[in-house]
Amino acid sequence: MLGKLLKYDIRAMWKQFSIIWPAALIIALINRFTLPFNQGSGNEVGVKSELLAVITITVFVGVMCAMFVVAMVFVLTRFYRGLLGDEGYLMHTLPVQTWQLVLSKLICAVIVTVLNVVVSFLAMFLMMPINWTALFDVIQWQRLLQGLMKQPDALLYLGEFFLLCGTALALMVTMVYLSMSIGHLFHRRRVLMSVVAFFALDIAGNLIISFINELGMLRFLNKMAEWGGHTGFWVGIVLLLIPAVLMFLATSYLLKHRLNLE
Amino acid sequence: MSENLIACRGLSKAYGRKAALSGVDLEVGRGRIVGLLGPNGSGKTTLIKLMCGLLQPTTGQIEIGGLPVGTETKAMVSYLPDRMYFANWMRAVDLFDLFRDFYRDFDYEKAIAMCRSLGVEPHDRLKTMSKGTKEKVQLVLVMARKAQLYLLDEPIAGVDPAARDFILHTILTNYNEEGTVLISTHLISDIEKVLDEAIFLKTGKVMLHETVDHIRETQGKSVDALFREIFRAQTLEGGEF
Repeated sequence: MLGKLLKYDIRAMWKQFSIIWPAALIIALINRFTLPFNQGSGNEVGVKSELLAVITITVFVGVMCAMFVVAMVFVLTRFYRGLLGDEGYLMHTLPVQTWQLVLSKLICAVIVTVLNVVVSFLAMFLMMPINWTALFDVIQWQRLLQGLMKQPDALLYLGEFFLLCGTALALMVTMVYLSMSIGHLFHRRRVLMSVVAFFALDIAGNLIISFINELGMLRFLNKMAEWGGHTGFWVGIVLLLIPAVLMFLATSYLLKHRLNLE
Repeated sequence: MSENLIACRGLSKAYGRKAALSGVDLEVGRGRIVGLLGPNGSGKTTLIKLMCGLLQPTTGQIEIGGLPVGTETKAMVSYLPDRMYFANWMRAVDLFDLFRDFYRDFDYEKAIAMCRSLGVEPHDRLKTMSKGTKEKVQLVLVMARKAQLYLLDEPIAGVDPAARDFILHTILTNYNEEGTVLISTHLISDIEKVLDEAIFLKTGKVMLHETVDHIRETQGKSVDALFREIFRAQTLEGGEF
């Protein structure tokens, strides 16, 4: 059932981003030709070309900002409108477990954010004056591959880094979900109470970290991290994963046992 | 299989300090068409939402087919809410796909055929449809299932008398006859002729639960006439005039 839910959440995601992602890439490509990358310091750039460059880069920055704003709004509304608003009448009457509804939204939120970052990097890559001959130089790639083979840890580090980022992202999203679920417990001013819950959770998190620090746990964990680079990453992943899982479970519990779609 | 399809025991629901349902005890069997009747604010929607799991009871219990409300009961219930619950970018066929994925008893071909007979183009986007057409799509979704229990919340409210007959005809010609249909409304005269049983709700309490035949025999009047008598009395007691 989770797969089926994901299918519909991803379809909704594509509907939202099917214009803005290609638009960002196309505008980046236009910038590649309008920005004066190849102008030497002595050359004068025409006023028209300069104006065009300013316009295209402004549009590009605007689209990139819009992309991240839309992603943030998408993550919030897919949960709030989809599970706590009118669409919740459909989703909560489907014969699926509540945790599957929440997990589907969470996975989709992570995918959207990751794809947003990928599109941003791709757009910047397209914008740069790339030497295509050098890029497709087989010898360079062979050297790079040989270098990586000598340091197989490098790819593992990269994987661990991405996993750490993904877990941090999941923690942030679950915190937002839990805040909205707590806000929904109130009879009135649910949005305001969701914001209050978010700050309360943030303060509670900081207090817990201070408490752990006082117990000397962080020094112990830092010492563990010093034993090896990989350990550091995994300690970080586990430390982020524990609150993320707890918040996910709390959100699922509230939606299952305290749901009130009035 | 449980004898009663719906069983409520001491069911209460409060919104803050305001009680919407108070100590409802109710049993409804299978293969019945039941009218959940009461004026606005009597607790009809609250009772239906509790049966769907969209609300949690303050106290008491509710069972559908002998099971507490959960994933299994949701597979048995086909629910028509009092509002639009789908995203506007979808088409009717997208919703049919979704229902086919999640409900084993959803008949896709029947849904398409119902759309044709109701004059709805299933490939049109919902955002291009009128409110009435969207309501038809939602009715198709609900009635194209062979469900155990149909919960229809005000299906004929807000439409003209001709459309009411049309909607009732669609319900009566498409429901699973082994299942039960629970229709909430305050427009009794329009649905009285199709009802087997009537439940009167007044300020969150069940005032009466009888077969329509029994009401006619013992009271010597129609359900509509009895409803008007009871709820006119309520208005007068309230001193609103």
